[in-house]
Amino acid sequence: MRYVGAALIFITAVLVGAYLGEKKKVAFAECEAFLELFRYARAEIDLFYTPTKLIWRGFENETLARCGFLEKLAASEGDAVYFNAFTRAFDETEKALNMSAEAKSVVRAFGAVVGKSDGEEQLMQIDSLISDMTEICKKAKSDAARDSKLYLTVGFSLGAAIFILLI
Amino acid sequence: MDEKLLRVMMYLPAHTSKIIASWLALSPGVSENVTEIRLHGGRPTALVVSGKNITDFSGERDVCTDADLSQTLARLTEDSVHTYGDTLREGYVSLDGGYRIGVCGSANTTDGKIKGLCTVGTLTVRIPRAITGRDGELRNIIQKDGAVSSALIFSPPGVGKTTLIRSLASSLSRGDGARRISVIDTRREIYMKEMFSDSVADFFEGYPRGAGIEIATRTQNPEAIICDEIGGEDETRAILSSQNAGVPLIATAHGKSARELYLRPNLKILLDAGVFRYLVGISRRGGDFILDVTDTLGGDA
Repeated sequence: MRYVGAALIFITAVLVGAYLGEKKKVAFAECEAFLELFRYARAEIDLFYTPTKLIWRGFENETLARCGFLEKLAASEGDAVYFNAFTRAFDETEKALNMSAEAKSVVRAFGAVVGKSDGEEQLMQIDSLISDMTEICKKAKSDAARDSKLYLTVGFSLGAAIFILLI
Repeated sequence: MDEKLLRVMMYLPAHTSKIIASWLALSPGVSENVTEIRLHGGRPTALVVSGKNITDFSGERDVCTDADLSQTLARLTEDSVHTYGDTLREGYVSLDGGYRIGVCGSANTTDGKIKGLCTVGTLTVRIPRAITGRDGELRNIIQKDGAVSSALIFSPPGVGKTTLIRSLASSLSRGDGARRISVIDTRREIYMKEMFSDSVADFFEGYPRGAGIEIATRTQNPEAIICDEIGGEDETRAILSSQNAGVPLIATAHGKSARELYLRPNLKILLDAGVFRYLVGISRRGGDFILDVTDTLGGDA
């Protein structure tokens, strides 16, 4: 019985380590997904002056679809007064996202910018946000690579230590 | 409350809508006479009712912040201010249904040209109105000889030129004897779905006036062209050219009197060339329109 308990604790510790590492990878994927969305929106505004509510129609991304963000965004298209749809969709899905607070604040800033001013002004602000998000992505990527290994190692080591102590 | 007013109230800041709605609820019959809502950053909101500016709403005043104005503009443009860049530089945005919102504030300029707006200082929402009766009177005059004759409708801003030509375009292009009318709706404020649902008019929405007149003349075989607010150089050339093609023009221009029209160089060219048979001055007495029609050929108007 002791062996079974020790084995269970070991497996749980390893799984928790792997899960925490995976969350870091997901956080990086979310940052990348929003960066891709920012770039897509920028091109739509710059090249086609696409009305904001139509920008999202042609955008596909598995990460943002999985967390429900794109669905929420599309649901606002028929609103009698289309306003702040991006921010509302983000508010409703924020809890499901693993991104850092810094990354979330950049996404929120994007919501406050998109569609709110004329083309030139808006593109300048979006460029600045793309640059911020690119930096965040770089950091998230290195964090994910480092931390996923770290969490797994810590989980494994802790699990192994407890396993040895118990037997 | 009047439906047209109700639709535009959705876009206004909540505090403004609330004050206006409460005031209108206490003033029955007034909402149909509201022609403008004027929002000013840091200054009182005004309603224009039958030509009067009202800022006191049963003892209450409404003052919008700069953020209120920016957000209202964003709501009016469906969060797509960038798609209205061209018209914003000209000082307005248009909504479906003939609404026009005048926009002014602090401009960002390069080489004397407006590149965009840094801040919005005032939003003037004009409520489109349909009039009946006077357009019928005018229609009978300009069709007196069977065919449509050219006419220039003038008045100071805000009297109802656009309202009158919208009604005229609708009545000329509907029912028995409907005429092929090309409407150059540069500011997208003439077309109203409910007024043109059974009309055979062709709409050139957003076209610059000169280009619209040229294309309509060349491609639509119109029996008449209707165009709002002429007076620029481009459209003067296009109008002279379309008149040579024999297409009558019904247009509007700002001016208090026929004499004032002659003071505007491009209009003077058109008037001297005899482009317009009828000069129609409009004014208002209360909610009613008064037409002052002059036949330049000396006929009895």
